[in-house]
Amino acid sequence: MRRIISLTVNGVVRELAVEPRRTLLELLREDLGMTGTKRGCSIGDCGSCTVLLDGVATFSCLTLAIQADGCAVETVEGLAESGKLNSLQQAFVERGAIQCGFCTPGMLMTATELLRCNRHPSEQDIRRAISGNLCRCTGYQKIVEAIKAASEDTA
Amino acid sequence: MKSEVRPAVGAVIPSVDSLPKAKGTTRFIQDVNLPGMLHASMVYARTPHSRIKSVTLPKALSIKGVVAAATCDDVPGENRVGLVIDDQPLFVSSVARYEADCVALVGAESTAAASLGASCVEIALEELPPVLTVEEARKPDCPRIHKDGNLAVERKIIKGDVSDGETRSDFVVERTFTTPVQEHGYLEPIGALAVPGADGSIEIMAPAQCPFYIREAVARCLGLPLSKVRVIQLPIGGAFGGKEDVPSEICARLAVLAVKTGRPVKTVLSREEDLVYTSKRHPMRLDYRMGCTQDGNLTFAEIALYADVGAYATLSPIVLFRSTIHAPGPYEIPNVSVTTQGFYTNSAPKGAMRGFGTPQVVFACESVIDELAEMAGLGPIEFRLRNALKRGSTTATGQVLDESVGLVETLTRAKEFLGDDKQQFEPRPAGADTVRSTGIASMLYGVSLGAAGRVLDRGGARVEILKDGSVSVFVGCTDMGQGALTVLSQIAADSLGIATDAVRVNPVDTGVVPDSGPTVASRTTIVSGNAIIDACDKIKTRMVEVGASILGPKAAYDVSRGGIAGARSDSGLGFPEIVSECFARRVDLTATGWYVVPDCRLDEVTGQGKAYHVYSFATDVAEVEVDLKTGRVDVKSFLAIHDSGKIINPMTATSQVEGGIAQGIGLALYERFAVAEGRVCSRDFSTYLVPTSLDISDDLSVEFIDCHSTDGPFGAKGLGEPAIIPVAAAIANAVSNATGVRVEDLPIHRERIVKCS
Ligand code: FES
Ligand code: FES
Repeated sequence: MRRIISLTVNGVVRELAVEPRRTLLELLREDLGMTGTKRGCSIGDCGSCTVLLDGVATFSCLTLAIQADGCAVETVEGLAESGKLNSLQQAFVERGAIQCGFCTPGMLMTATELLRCNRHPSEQDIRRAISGNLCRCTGYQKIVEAIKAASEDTA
Repeated sequence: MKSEVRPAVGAVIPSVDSLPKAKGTTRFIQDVNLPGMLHASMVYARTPHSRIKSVTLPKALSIKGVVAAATCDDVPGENRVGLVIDDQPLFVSSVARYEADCVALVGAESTAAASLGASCVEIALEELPPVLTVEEARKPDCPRIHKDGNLAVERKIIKGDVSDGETRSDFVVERTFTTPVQEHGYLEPIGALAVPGADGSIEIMAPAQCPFYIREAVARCLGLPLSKVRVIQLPIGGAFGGKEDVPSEICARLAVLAVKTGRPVKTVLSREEDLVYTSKRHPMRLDYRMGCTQDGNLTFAEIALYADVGAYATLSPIVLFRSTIHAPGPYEIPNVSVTTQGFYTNSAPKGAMRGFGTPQVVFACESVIDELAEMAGLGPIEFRLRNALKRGSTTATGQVLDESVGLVETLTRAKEFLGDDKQQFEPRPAGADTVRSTGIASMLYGVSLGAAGRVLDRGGARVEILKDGSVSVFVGCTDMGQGALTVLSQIAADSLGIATDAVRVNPVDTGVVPDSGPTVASRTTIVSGNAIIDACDKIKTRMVEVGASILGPKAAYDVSRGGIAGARSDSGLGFPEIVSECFARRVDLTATGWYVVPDCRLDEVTGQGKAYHVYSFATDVAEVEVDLKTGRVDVKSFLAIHDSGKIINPMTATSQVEGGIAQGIGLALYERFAVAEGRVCSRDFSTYLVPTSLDISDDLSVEFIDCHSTDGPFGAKGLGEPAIIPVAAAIANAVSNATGVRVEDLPIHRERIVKCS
């Protein structure tokens, strides 16, 4: 039995009929073709599927699409403004925080939430915030540095 | 003439492919879909050792959405994928040798239908007694996993006379160590896509380190000439050796189903499948005996290594070659004996993982070196310096090192950093129950494939200069996040004297570049880099001929500015001018470059000879805090000092090493791949713990000693694998120093720390 839900994705209102068991990750990637959000495990272990749900960093693989009914969803595709990287993305590029890039979309969303709540996070704040996002390539150092740099940028 | 172009080599340049990755527009295999594409799911034996009696498909085929299935009966060519030893079937036909041995592949209109279909394939089997450990596998009466027995690989080095060395020794240390299975834990699960062509050819797209391995495997299984198989590399979401051998099997199976159905077929593994099915780092038992004189000069090393190679040999012969060569460490030792044996067990095949058989032996060797140093009354650095390989030294295989040996410099830097060679390694109380100390470990690493991979050790590049002066480059080695595209762009830019952003290095396409061997062994910068330089040289020669016809016979290529310089300093043709001049005269500005790694050969019996043509070196310094009540170990700070020759891009290089440190911390402290009765228990990232941002010290430093290598492009050597190699060893030595109890097993057991301290 499908249900009609309505949500905004990166500011655009979307209305869709979804199966109750469909996850938000499937909705984004398969129904909307927005493949920027990655699937690393499907069970809430890796953080690569992180999106913002009403501003809160959320594992979209553990969220049912119908739970997002009426919510605002933000994904990596919404970060750049008219094709130009925002300061957080720019910091990731310039500071070498991206190797394979598979964790990057999820990391960026978690960091976005952090910087909105805490304009001047300490290194420990950053490490704590991203501790649910695995990265196997970078050892996190450059990611932490990039987030710190972006926070100083917006000061 | 225009001004000099700032050299790209040595400059910090952000990764050339990081922009789309930051936007989320990079398309990984999970993001690629084609019209008419089938989704496939593999069907596994699900029991560690069994004889397959029948595989029945009708129930699976009756599932809505399931289109077709393939088994060994559908393979048009050979049903085999063995890489070095021919021991592995593509689809199991009689005996399944591990839990995830693949029996069939089901293709469906959706991933859900495919996995439901796969679970409905009925397998009638007879369980056989599983062989679960090397200890069992070694016993003469043990059931045989393969017909020739359970010994899969044997390697040896014999130098001098070990018993003679022992009589000259004042101190001898004898100890047994063990190291665990390690999972790569790349974030992007493995996947691939096979697209059948109308003319009987096939195209494969995969995030794979070794497109040329895939081409061979697919051609062999389909019975096609190599020319009819084209492999295009997709962006790789991390690999670390894990996307080296395994993609060949997966691609060949997809290809069989693609040919059978005439439709594109894709699969992406679930995380659980990826953990259970794919290759891992070899677990080992390492028996070490080493001795020294009272002055601290090493006298002998007698080493026996026993590795679990899993169900199939895949890359084990080459991995264990590397273990054998590196087992005695980066020291000059007059008498050496190393024997290595790899045994089959009923577990996932062990293949390549970053470090390729080296982190294990470095952990054991560096532990023993610390013990000998203490017996000889020397600081760990002093002892290492006394025995370190230098220019002119002879290695354990009798190879004389004639250039680029930066070990002493890394050790000297470590000493300068610590400021003292003894006190730093003592335990220092840090709290009521906590104690801190420091440990170091050094290593050497033979760059590229060495004697064991001699025939494959070459590579190509295709460089084309386009009308507008931009440059398109194809190479045979892949970028898997390590920054190869960036570093190779820098090399191409400096070879031509142009800006890096005028160069595009493309992902590997086997239809365009010659077979360049695998992307492994930290060889990409050297092999692809040198091939690019060779191709650019050929093109420059043609440009100079054209330039000479305009500027006179003294015309020469000017790499500092890009373009042709004439005899007078004010005459010359800039890069755009010479390019358009060449186009106007219909001169070909495309060239294939080729690089052959200098020959390495070892004596089959003694293992003596030239093992690798050049070596990277490193010394790592770890500071740990140990809680003696709970056994918890925290890495407080970590310094990695690497000699990888000229560093082409300091930022990507540093990032590589930081990632290696994190993986090494995982190996030392957290990563325990649990298996019970031949069945994997660590089936997700909440039971297999890779380090999070809170598990890694916030005080990581990386330094480079630039020890120029004459053969490397701009003096570079390899770095990707050295990044992880000494990490666990340095941490283990630090923990041993803190607790006074020698660490013998990785990952470090908290229980042992609590019990013994
Ligand atoms: S895919 Fe959602 S946490 Fe891994
Ligand atoms: S960059 Fe590869 S997982 Fe983070």
